[in-house]
Amino acid sequence: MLSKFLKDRINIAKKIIEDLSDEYEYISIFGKHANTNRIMLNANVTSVGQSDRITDSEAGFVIKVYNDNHYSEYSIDDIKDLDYGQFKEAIKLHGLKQEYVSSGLLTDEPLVKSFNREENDRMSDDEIISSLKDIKEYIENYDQRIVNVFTVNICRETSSIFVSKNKCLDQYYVWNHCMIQVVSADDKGIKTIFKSENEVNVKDALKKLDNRKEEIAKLAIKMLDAKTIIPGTYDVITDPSISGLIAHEAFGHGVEMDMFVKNRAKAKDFVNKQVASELVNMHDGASATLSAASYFFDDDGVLANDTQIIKDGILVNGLSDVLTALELNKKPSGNSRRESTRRKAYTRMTNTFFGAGKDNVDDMIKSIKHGYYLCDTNNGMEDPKNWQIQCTAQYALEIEDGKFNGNIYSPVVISGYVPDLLKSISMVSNEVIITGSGMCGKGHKEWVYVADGGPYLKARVKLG
Amino acid sequence: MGLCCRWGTIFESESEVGMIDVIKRILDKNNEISDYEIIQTKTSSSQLFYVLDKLETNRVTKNVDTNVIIYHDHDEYRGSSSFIVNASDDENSISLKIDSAIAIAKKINNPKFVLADKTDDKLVTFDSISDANYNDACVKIADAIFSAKHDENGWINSVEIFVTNIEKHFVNSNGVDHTFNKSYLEVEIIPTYSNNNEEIELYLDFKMLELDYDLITKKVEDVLKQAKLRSNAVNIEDYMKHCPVVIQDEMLAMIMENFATDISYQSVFNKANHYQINDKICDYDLNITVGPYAKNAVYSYPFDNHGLVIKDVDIIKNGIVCANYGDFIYGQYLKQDKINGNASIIKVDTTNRCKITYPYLEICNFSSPQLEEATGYFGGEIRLAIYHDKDGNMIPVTNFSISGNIYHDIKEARFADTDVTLDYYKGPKYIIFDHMSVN
Repeated sequence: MLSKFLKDRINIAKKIIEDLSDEYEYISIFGKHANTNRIMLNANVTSVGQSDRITDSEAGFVIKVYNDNHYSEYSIDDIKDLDYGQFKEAIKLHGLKQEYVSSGLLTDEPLVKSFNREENDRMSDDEIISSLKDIKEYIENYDQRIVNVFTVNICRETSSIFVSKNKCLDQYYVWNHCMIQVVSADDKGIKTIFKSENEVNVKDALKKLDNRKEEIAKLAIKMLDAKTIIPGTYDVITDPSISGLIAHEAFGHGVEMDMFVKNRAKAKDFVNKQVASELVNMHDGASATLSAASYFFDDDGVLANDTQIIKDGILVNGLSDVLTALELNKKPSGNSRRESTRRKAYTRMTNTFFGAGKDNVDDMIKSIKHGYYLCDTNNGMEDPKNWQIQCTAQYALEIEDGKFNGNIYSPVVISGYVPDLLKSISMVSNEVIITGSGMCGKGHKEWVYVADGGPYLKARVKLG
Repeated sequence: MGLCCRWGTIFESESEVGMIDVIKRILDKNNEISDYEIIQTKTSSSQLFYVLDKLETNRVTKNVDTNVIIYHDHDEYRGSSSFIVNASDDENSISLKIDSAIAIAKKINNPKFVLADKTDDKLVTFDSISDANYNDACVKIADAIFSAKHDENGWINSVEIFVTNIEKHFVNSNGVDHTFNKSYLEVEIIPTYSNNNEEIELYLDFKMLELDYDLITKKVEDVLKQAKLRSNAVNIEDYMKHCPVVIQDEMLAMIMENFATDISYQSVFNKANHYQINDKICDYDLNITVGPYAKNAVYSYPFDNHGLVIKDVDIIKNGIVCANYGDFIYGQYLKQDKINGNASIIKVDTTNRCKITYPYLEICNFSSPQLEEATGYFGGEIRLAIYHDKDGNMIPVTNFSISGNIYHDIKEARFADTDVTLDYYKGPKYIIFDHMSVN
């Protein structure tokens, strides 16, 4: 349930808004109280404690005002005993030579609502440590070439409030990440692999991870034989994690519409145009599915949405934060997200994924004469202005005449021109899997939790 | 410029200064706690956000974070647990967090280690931004950025300016008590250029420990010139793919950081290291030192998160690994005698330097440089490179990727004859690889 700290601040926020409304035409207060407990086991060391990453653990507020034709924000730890004089002076700028954007006033539609998503039957730290230890020891003992195993549980509890003249929203939600990293080594070198499972309830995530422990141990050993791929353009099948990475990088960043405002995204000129194969459908939204980026309202008080970005290959919608939507004269999509209360809200992706198709994954593999099955997200980067992407898969399995030939390659970098890649999609599987183990930055900063996924895809891409 | 020990106006209210004392008092009273560490970070900043050359938002932040780690010894083991103290806490909730942390620590059976002791070692001091009012500093920085000269087809598409002050305070149960503060600038700029057919952009992010407005303007002018080059860039030709590749900036720092990270105590303890002591990395005199500070290196810190005063340590000498370094606890797990802490700055030197000769391929801007520690793979998609032909003509090229293996390629690398300082790196301005894969 909503943290007591924030519950106690709702009336204080209302009073501040009442007191300052004569001075500022728009004023809102966003408050966040996040606690993240992290349990990690490796070699001979166990560590338990609250994560000190600012995205994970903080208590803070953002006071946002419309101030002399632009927006000003004041980020502080507590609004109790706010010194109005200090606040007003702090946000003043003296001697600014540049003009203001002058985007106008944010809308403030009436809404009062509370939201709650709790973990059922939470395991104790002892029980979680015991489960993580069992999984770790199974993998450690699987083969002497496995030299270290990390097992991790991260439990994120988030409370937030949003108060303005007409709105009063509060929410509480929980999300659990469970992860395994395995280091294997032989005389040829060292390899690492990473797998995760994510659920509201840690019990469910641990159970899923436990079910995969043999598969993970086998893969860690197989990775020791991994070779370097010969660069070139190939037919590939992407697993749902790589499909999700492509969705995220290929089109997710490009339709964050704060990029439209800055004329930084090529997608701006392609709205209602064909950008992908007609087999492609793509969504983003905190309420589009239940995963790592599922909340009830965003960091500017807009309710969560399910935005369809691509419909049958046509770009139909983008994502927006409140200021972007105001500047583009659109309804905000519920994608205002902050790394923490210390940072600005930008348009950010949430749960981003391709929709299901009709193909069977076995048929898709059989259809490849020579190519690769790309697995497990490592990282990715996009250039929205010029539609270049770079995605890294942890490994690829080689396919010859519709069958795996036993060869493995790692790491494998996918690169190319976004429309070429999306238009090359020729088969889409009938199942969608979404994983939420990653974080996404804007530029090289502003890290937020995201989820992505999709079906298996058959495409033609440049690998290196 | 001013000395770092200047800060102290915004946060010094009674309650905030007293928070560490309150926590210490509760911890000291508790007999079940064997040891503790407290790290408090006070951060304040001014931030400006521009769309094109117009201000959209300004922000001011003032925050305090306190991280507490408690240790509990039982039998031959030491357990620990950590928690955060923030604005939501009062004395009662801190006491509850401590009780809960003790209960967890009692059940954790890690090998024993000790915490840092008081020493006479002096903390390194250095200059950083000293403007009294960060809003005013931001306004001046904005002027320096927007005064950059460029031709009519180029412009600055968006700018973000952050001037931040960090004050760190460390105390532990052995009486170690360190404070340190610094202020720094971070700027993100998106330069754009139109060549009539299409607009292209690049990305520039830089940090400064000491403000130099002329240098800020020059950096912006340089990246605008690069954007113009990218707008004229052509796809790479086969004949350009077989010449030396010059790597600089972020990728260069990542490569050198990888060698340092590989031989850190943590990496060795986790059995993720490639190199052991006395292993030869290369045949030439590659020297890498880690330490607390390099002039204008933003990541400079005089002490680490266990309160160790960081000193320079030579970790690679004449191409041979000569020392591990790093985290105090992992160092003890590895039975190391002299542990010098988690140094944040990497200094590289060698006599294996040269002036680059034509032809060569100069990598200017990656989409996102990649380096995988386990395999040594490094490379990525290139947004802009310049092919310098045998006559010194410059041909901008784009839309290709490079890759190599750092553990092999370092053996035949050569280095620039001039030095540069980046966020956490000081050393040769670029590295030259003769046999990278270019596709």
